Amino acid sequence: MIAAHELTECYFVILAARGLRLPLRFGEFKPFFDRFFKFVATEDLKGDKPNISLGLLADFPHFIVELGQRFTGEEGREERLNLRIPEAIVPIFREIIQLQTSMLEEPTILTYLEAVRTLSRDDWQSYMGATLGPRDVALAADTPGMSSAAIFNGFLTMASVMSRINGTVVRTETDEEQADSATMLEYVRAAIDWRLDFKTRESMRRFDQVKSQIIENAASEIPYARRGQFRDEFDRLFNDAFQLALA
Amino acid sequence: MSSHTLDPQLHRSVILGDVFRDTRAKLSRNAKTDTAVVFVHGFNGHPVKTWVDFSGLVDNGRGAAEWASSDLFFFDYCDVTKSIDDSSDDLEVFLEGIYPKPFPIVQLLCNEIRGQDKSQEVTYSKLILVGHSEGAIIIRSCIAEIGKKSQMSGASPLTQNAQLILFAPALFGFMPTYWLGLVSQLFPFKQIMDLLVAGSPAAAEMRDFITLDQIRHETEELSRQFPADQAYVAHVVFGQNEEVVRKKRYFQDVKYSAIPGKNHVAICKPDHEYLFPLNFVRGRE
Repeated sequence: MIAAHELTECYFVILAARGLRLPLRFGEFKPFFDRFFKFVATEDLKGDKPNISLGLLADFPHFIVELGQRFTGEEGREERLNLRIPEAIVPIFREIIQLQTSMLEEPTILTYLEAVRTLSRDDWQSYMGATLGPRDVALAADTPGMSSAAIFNGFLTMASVMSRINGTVVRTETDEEQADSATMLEYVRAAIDWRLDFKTRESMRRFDQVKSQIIENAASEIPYARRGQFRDEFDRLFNDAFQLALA
Repeated sequence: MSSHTLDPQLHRSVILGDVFRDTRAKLSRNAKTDTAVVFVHGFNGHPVKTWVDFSGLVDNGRGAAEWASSDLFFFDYCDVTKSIDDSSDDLEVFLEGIYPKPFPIVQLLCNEIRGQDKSQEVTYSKLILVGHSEGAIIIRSCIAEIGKKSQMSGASPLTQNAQLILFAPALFGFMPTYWLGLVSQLFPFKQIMDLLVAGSPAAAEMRDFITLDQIRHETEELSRQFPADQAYVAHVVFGQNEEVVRKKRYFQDVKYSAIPGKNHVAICKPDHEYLFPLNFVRGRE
């Protein structure tokens, strides 16, 4: 269930901070979780939002309490990370948490994931076959419910956030900090990359199909002579965002 | 700067002409007034009509009690002919002129309206910046600029605790007409893609979005470095029927549920049955 993944992910990311023995206070994160809870608990979203379960709504306050206790308690099941200058990672970690929480708030990301995982091949193809303009895709933001535009919006939104999470690493000043933040990023990505579920050939195929369609649509808007190079560069950007090392 | 008074109610209207085009103000009669609320309209908007009927409802005692201790300023700028950068500079000059201590002429008017001695010092302890559509970009650009200058000088920006209230902000631009525009709203495309798409009709749209991305980047960077400064965190609301701008916020912003039945124009116009804007600007504290 997606909601369970979301909670697990929050849990792991924060436990990572504990493992790092970072001087982070639970109070610093609570507003973000409160925001998320307020968002999912909004009356007009209940029942209309297929990927936010009632279980999540009910469990969220307990989750926050549990999280708080773990933050302040001595016992932790966290994994240790070996960082040289952990305190330098604090702002990066804070930004990652904010980005990660913002991803949970995007209904179209959940729509994209739901579509990749659960739609039958016929249904998937019918959504992919729809004629869409960029305005349709932009308008689908914040819209719960399955639609072609929401699937494309979700893919692009997720790529954007993933790209920015990767970008948190490049701002460090020293080699040591750089190495630490790369380790941190690797740890965090391990916790959040459940979205890139390529265990089945079908999910990989669907990911590629959305990506290719966006690249082709964009390429059609530039002069013909530059399209080939554009496609390659654009493809590389997406793969970098998702950290896909393709053979 | 010329000025004259208009009506006699809880607030009194004044026109702050000449220097700030058609900027208006509604100054409170309350001697305990401690808050300056600055409204910034959007593209092709009007300093007062964009916000109809904020001032009328406030004067009728609607909305939160805090309105009684607020002076309202309706900032005007050259939204059609000037760049975002220039308008942002204009707003910065205006803010320096009213917060925390207003221009002498405004101080004089405040004292006259409040029945106080002419020489009484007027000082605001709170600043609230309210933007609609493009006005929100002007505000964010201005706040980022002030933040960068303060960072260089080592001083705390005067606006560091300003509250930002944004109605249907165009932070991520207007609805794209090209796929390249859509993608560049989300991706830090920049140089390499700019070179590749140069000369295409989509390039101009992309460049606009890249300017907005720069403001976003600067603001988020400042927010990351100064997490305690609330001026970098905006309270953002859209209407459910928004079809003009992209419904996106900066990642540190506070998101509110979309307002049913409201579109891009109506979202910031309160009336007797739609008091949300009044309480969104003042009354959340």
